[in-house]
Amino acid sequence: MIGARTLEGLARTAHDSDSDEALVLRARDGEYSAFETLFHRHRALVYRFAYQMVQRRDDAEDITQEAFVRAYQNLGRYRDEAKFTTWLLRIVTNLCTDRTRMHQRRTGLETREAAGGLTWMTVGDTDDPVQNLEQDQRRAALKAALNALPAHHRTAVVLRDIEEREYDEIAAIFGCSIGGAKLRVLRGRRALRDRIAPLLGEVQP
Amino acid sequence: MKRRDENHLIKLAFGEAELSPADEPLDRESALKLDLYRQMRQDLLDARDAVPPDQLSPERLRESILRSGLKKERRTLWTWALAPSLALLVALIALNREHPEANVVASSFEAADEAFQAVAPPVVETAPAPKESNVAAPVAPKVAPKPTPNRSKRVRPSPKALLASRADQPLAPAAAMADIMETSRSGMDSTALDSPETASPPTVVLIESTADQATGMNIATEVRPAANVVIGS
Repeated sequence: MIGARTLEGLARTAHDSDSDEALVLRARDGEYSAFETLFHRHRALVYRFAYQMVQRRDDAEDITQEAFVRAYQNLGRYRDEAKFTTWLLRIVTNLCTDRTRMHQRRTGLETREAAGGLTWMTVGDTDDPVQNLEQDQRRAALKAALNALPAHHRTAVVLRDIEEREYDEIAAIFGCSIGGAKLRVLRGRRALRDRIAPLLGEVQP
Repeated sequence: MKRRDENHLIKLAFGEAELSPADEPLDRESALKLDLYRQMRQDLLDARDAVPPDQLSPERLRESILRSGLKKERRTLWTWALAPSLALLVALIALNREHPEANVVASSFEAADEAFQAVAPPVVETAPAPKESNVAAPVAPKVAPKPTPNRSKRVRPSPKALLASRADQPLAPAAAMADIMETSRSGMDSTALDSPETASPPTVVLIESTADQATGMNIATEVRPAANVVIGS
């Protein structure tokens, strides 16, 4: 009985020592290898999210690296109320928003490019372009339409429908209520549909 | 289609609501939109995997952290205190401009100072004779600059203008001038008034050899200096 209890405690201790929060504590105490473990664990998530936001590999890599640098510099400000990934994604969201603001002109060009792409796909020779679209073309169209969305709509859609985050986590990332997060996701989906509907043959009112 | 119905369709397509018996059967437009949203959801899920591999490395991150260094201490306290301080300063300046009568007390001293300077004759200073020469050479008298009291930069009427404005009034008697000097002396810089040209002559205390009946101490008398009095034996 005592042995089983001890084993359970050891397992819990091992699990706790491996958790994000424990690694953050160790990194805060100066153990850099703990922070590297966090990097290895979450870099794919951060990079994928950043890529979905900016749609460029080099930009996504820069944002990912900058996010981890900022996380390391601000480890002392991390509180255990939120999950580490939530905190990290909040940093990435801010960085992506900043990047979007910095590249307003480029975004405008891409928006026009996306609009042109949609026209090309809807004004074709075939009667029903949806049937003729290949899967990769549809993905490219979705990518362009997603890139044409405003940053706040894009963030909401990516977090919920691509990264499949829960609403409470999205609310923590946005710093709003859960109802507010649901509303943002809903508006983002509707805005995405407005841009992608011509691709799929729906007649706009 | 109403916006509320469309929102319901979105929730149905993204699996956040169940299709209730009241919803069925969907009309053609609603069914098309539902299909559209379902397709969009699937495309979004597929986009999750369509991410090119990254070239991140722990070494690159470590270099970046070392390059950027640790975050500096946030100076929020004084930064936040700076804005209210500046606002207070601006408000004080604006208030001072709107209510110049706040300087009435200071102005009375300045008026006395102006009157004194207007009435006082210019001081003539004679240069000392050269030591080697036995013959006293005639030296042109030099007008020494007037002592400038420590004053603010505000625009005040010039002494000439003050005299012109008081041309029809008789000049103040000596006693009144002495009072004005005493009053202005307290509000002005002591270094400017203690100069030999402008300082009032000190009073002389004469200590007599006879003792006072009440206190037993020597009697002392304070007198003003005069030219026709000899002090000492």
